[in-house]
Amino acid sequence: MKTIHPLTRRVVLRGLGATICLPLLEAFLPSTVSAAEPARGMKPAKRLIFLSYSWGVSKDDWFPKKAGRDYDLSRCLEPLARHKPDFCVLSNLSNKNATQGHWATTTWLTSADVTATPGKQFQNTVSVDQVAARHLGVETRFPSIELSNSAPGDGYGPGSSLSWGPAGNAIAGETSPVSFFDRLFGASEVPLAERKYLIDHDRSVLDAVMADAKSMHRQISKNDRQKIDGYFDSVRDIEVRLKKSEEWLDRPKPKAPLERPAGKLNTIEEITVMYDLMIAAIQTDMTRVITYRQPVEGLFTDLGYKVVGHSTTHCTVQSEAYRASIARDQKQAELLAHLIDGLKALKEPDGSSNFHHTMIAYGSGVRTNHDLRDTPTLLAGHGGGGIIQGQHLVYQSKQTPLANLWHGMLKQVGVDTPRFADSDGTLPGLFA
Amino acid sequence: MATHPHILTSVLSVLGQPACLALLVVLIPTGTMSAADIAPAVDRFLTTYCVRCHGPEKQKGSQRFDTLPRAIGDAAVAQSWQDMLDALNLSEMPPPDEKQPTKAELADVLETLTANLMIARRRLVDSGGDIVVRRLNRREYQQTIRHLFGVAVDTSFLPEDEKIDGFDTLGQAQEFSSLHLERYLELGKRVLSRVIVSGKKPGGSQTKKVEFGTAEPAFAKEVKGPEKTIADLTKPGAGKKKGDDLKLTIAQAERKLIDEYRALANAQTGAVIPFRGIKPSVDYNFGGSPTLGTYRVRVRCGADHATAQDELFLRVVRGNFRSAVPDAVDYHQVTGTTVAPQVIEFTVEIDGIRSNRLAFERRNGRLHKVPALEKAPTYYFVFPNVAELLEDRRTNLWIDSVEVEGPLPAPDVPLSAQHLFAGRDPAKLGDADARGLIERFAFQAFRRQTPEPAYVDRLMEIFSAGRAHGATFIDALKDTLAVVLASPRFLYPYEPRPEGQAPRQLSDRELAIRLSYLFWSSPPDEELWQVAESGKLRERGVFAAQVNRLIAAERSGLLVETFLTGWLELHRLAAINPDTTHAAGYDDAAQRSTRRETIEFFHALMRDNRPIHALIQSDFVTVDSIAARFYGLPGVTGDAFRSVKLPAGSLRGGLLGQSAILTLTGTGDRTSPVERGVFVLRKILDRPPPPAPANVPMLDEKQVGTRSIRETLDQHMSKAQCQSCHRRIDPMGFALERFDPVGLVRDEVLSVDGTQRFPIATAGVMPDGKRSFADYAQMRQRLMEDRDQLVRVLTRNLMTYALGRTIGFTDQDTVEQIVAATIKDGYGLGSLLHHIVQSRPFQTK
Repeated sequence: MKTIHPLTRRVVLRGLGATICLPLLEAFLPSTVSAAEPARGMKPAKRLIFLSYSWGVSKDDWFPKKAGRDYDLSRCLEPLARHKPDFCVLSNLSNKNATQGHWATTTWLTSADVTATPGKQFQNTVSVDQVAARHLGVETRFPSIELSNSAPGDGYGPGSSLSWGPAGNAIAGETSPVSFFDRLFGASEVPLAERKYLIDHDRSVLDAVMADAKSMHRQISKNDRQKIDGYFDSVRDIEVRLKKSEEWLDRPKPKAPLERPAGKLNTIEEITVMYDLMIAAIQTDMTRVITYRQPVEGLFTDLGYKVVGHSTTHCTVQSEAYRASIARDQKQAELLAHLIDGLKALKEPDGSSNFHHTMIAYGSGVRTNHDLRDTPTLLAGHGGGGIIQGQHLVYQSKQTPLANLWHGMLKQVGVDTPRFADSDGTLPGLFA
Repeated sequence: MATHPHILTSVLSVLGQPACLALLVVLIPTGTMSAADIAPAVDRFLTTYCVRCHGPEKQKGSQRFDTLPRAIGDAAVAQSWQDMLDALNLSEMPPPDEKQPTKAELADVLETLTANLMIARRRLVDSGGDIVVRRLNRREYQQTIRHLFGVAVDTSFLPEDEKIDGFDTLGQAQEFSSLHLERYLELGKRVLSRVIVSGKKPGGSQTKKVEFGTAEPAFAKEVKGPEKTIADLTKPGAGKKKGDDLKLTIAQAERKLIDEYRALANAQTGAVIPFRGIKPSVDYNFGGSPTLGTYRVRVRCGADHATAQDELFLRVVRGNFRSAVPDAVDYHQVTGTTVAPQVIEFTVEIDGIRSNRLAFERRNGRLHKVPALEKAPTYYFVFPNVAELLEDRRTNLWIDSVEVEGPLPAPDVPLSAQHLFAGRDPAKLGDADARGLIERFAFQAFRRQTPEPAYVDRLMEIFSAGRAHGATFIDALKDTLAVVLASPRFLYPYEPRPEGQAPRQLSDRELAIRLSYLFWSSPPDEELWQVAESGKLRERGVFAAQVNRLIAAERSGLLVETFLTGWLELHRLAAINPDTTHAAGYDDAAQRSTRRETIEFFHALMRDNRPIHALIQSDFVTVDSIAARFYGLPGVTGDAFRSVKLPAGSLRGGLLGQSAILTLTGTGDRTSPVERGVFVLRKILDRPPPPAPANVPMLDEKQVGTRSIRETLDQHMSKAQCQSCHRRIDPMGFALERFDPVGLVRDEVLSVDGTQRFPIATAGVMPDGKRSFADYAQMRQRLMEDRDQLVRVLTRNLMTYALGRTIGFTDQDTVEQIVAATIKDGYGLGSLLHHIVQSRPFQTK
């Protein structure tokens, strides 16, 4: 089944969720469909977004108390009230193999046991987004997009984004909104011949560095070779990207539906702009899989607190640090609500909202303190239908693998795999 | 309501470094591995309490412990033991209706099993002594570019370095992804556009001078702000908005002060700073596009007074106006006066990356809000901190002028445009010259190694394609050379050894590169290259002399700072905001100087080859005037760090008496005896406790508030799960309670909620459970008895940094040889470094 996502004619006004109409640009349409023949009857594409952060959440004020459909939102999740029918809070999911109290994101999307490889201190495995990207990324300019942040601070654990490649290699995330914007929309004005030349030029550059790498490769030991292989892999990744660019050569990048970010951003602005750029990336169908390792430390400063993230996890509920923790959770929820607004405002040709076809997993690998069981997990969006949203689902055992959620999401987007990491079943009550 | 006891103590220990790796590479003293990893004591415990349900008769939960291998040969077996440990830690087992171990029994078995598992896991991940090839980290990349081209490069553009145990030199931690390659290519282009400048030649050195008196035209412009505000708000018919009254009050107050300022005699000749907020700073701006290079800055200044003032410091901030995080901050003591001004001189590198603006301020210390203006938004004020300075009556700083000279002549570098074009005019070069030029460039970039012809062929293709596409000779060349700076032989110091071949001795060239990257984070300088190329580097006297030269150079400070940041976790100080601490004297300046103190102290030990155990106890401190004042040491004037003899009986002297260490182990407003105790065990006694286990049970939070920290932490002794580690950790921390959260000596402590006062109880027992101490001074004596342990810890950490790999079981003999040799040589820190670079692992690939 080939799913094609014709570009919506609507453009989101930044931050407001209001929609305006623009004339249909031929260039915005996938090449197989001409402008005269709109993509009728095509199924809208499914999309995955993964958002995570360090230091977990406020221990007593994030998790809803009551289970079921008529649960009350906790005060930290209150800013999401308008979207309540469209997400679930999932309790008692854990990455059972996680053992490090300060590693909030290292294995969040991999559910790996990083100590399981003999002779290796640390070996991660492929993350769920990358598995999905192999399937969902075929038709888009970018198979997946990985985002991180410029002032990471502590508490994430190893990794440079949430994503890990097929060999368990860390994938570096784009840290700056400006670079992200340029990757999406930059060089759209460059003429065709020049774009062709640039692709050829980049190929020659890869040829050159590979010639040097190969000459080293012949004379080094197995361990060294593994390191240099990381270099080879990066060259190969760029080759794949160049090939993609070539396929997309006659289709210029779409016009940016928002302005290029400028000036120094505080953390709240940085997350907001990253979210807006994600919406723009989805709107222009540049990618269907996005991960974002969000900044946290700067949020405290922005909200007027002088605390560090770590202290918010070791504090009494009467302390300043705990108040900061709640304020951060609420701000994060507010920003997430803004992202959902944006995706709801994007309309598919069949009139349904883009959000309806998207799934957003939002959470952290640490609950609070050094607690790695029953970690905060929220799933928003309907994944094209068939997800029973609007509940607080509490699973039986704290040993319920988080990987069951990842596996379920893969299945929802049509990736047929018997299991993912340590998954051992489905999540009853969530996926119909 | 429940909480883990760490709430009080803020366990920052594994912050900023992969905690799991910290666990796995934690170094256990001695202990050759026998066939069994699990100690007999654990066996006895299992037989008594577990095997009835998990043994030959029954295998509840499919668990059977009597046949579980005692020798841990793979990760699966390790995991089975870990599961058992977790169950004990979480009090899940034995079940309540079964026979229960005593608290002491449980604590003992937890401690033993945890230690056994740590050792076993460490053995499982042993690298077998192989140093894996590694990429230049950000710092080395930056220093290498500086060495080759003499230009600075913004490495924050590169993905962050992955670290193990806080060290950025370990190949096994490094990752490489397409983003890396893209960024290296882009940075390479930026570097070359700096080096090869087409068009006009930059002018020579110039001197500019700025004067600051009220007679200067610039002054008239400055005072216009408040005057305009008053005029706007008082003119007839001005609409009243919310906040206008306050705005007017502020503007009128400022206006009044401006008149007072104008009346000052000293203000005619210079800037009087901050004069109650009227003139918080003066600045010097190098402008939008200055010629890059190093400039000399001379600030002619003094106290706004005829006699010298003891506490007056000039603060130089490099950063854009009101930028939250400045690029650099420096302090200089001011001993001059308006009658006898002083000239403070320093250099600034204008690099196109950091700000071109310097602001000159007085060190104001911690500022207090003026109550009346507390609610006023900061944007009412033209300058930051004005609201805080309005009622300030301390002696002002008087700045007569700022003189800037430069750019100063740059030192010669191997790949300056001059060398690259071999002195010829690039405009007269043709395509025929390209190949030779590219080869020469790659030779230097690859640390004097000839590039393969096939590689140069590929580079020539890029060059030719660029030319065919219409690029100028220079542009095509820059584009091509940038590729060299992203090529593996540049990014990875290359030490070939084909698979299957036995380890070999490094060539002199390779050894020289390892040495210079260790001490200077950069390629060898001309002298070291020449020694290496003459084949004499390994001659006994020659090698030692070169190492001494590398250590003695100012540049070895980079090794010290990087090493200590990793080993002592100095970066944690950045998380402590001086304003949130209780001590009025602890301001930004004090924090910077006391951090520097730790680095300068270690650097002094290294350069003067003083005993390593000075890190435990020394009769001197290494301070500047700011740190000396903070500690209350008299008679230290000026900005240079120097050794100052301590009075008899002083608690300073040694790492544990340094503010930086005592502060970074807490939160700034509270000490953490646990953190401090862990620090002693880890960094000095070589008895690292395991990291706090995940999913730990919680303590009762309600009992915390009014107790002393000691009483609260005594709860650790009531549960076996806590006791197993904390009985060793806490006593060390209690002795250090003599020092307050920023490291000042104190006599009493406050309860967590601040309402109760308690005398300090410092007595305790050493981790061996035998030797007791009454207070910190005695504990320090005990630590001195164990000083060989410190040599061992330091050896392993320095080796980790120097070799760029974790130090494992394979290295145990080497470590012990180096420790013994260093002790025999009188414990000198310089000796230790000599022994490390002479060791087999360092000289072998």
